[in-house]
Amino acid sequence: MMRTTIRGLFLAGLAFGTSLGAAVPAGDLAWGVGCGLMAPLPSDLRVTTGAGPDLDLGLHADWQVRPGQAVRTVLDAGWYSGAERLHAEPTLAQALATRVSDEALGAEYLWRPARFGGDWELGAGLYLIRWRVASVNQLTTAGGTFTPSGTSTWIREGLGILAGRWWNPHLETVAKVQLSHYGYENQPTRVASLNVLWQF
Amino acid sequence: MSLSKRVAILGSLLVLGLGCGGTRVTGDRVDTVNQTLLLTPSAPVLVQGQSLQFQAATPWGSQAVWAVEPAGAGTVTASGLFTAGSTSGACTVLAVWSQDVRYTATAAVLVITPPSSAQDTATASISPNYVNAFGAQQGAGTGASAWANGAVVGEAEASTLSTSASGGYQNRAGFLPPGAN
Repeated sequence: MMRTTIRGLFLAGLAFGTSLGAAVPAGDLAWGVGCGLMAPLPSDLRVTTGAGPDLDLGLHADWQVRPGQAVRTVLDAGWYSGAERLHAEPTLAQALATRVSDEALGAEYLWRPARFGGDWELGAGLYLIRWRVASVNQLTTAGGTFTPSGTSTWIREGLGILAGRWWNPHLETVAKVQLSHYGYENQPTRVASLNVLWQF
Repeated sequence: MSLSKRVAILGSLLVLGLGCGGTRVTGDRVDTVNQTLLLTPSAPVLVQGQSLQFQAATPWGSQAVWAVEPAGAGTVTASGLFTAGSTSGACTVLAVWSQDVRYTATAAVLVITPPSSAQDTATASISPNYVNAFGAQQGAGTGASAWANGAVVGEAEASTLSTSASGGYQNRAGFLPPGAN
């Protein structure tokens, strides 16, 4: 019940944030693209993704809600390099290869302190993240080998904390830590990224 | 909004985020066979040709993909019904959860030969004076015994069944030579 309520509030906030981009006058909107590197921080996700760094691409739209404050709608996609784990027991040898990817739709609130001339910004974001794990599980016994494979997906909420630096009116560098969880066991995920954004 | 309030909000979100996350079960590691996906029974003993229904279950569902190794040791259906093959020995039934193949379970199956029956149907032996019948070869006894179109000439008596401590066996009295009645 509590979790359902939290998820409902989360989705409402996310929907509000992402819908702002479509609701505001075109003159207040600025579109952009971004790319960068991301790496999972030590957690169970790193077991599945590998250590990285890996590629991250994204689209975003900024809406200047008032001087020094903005709401950014983001759509990011990330591809992790993958990991392979080996384990051997007397009766069973296992080789498990996994490749993880994710897409995140989110809304970020950005605050640009005037005392830094508007070049720096801090922010926090809410995201819906679709995790996808493609697995190949090779099981070898004395009698032979069985190799099932499959792809599992989950949609989970996420939370991000970010800091950015504007180098000119179009170019920004953003460092972000995104927290979420994934999998049937809701394992925690913590992913750090460093992206370069170009705003048109 | 003041700077301190903004920082406090961001800090709270960070703490909340770092605190979230679910239970840290080690499901996607390789040393967790039979921990999250449970397979029952885990070590059954079956007679050749015998069938057994396996059950695979996780906390989130029970649909599984099955295999038997070595492949000739038996068969297993999509629903987990295992049927032992015609050779005795050990084999492994493997299951992975169909929703996430990282979850694995195994069961060690021992297939044994059926207990030997005392029923003796291999030969039918009677007195030398009677007809010996071993498979397709039929020979006439002495005296009045005779061939007749490959069939034993004689009179069949009804089989009798008796039991002993070691089980049941069939005692066929065989054929009586002509005129023996």
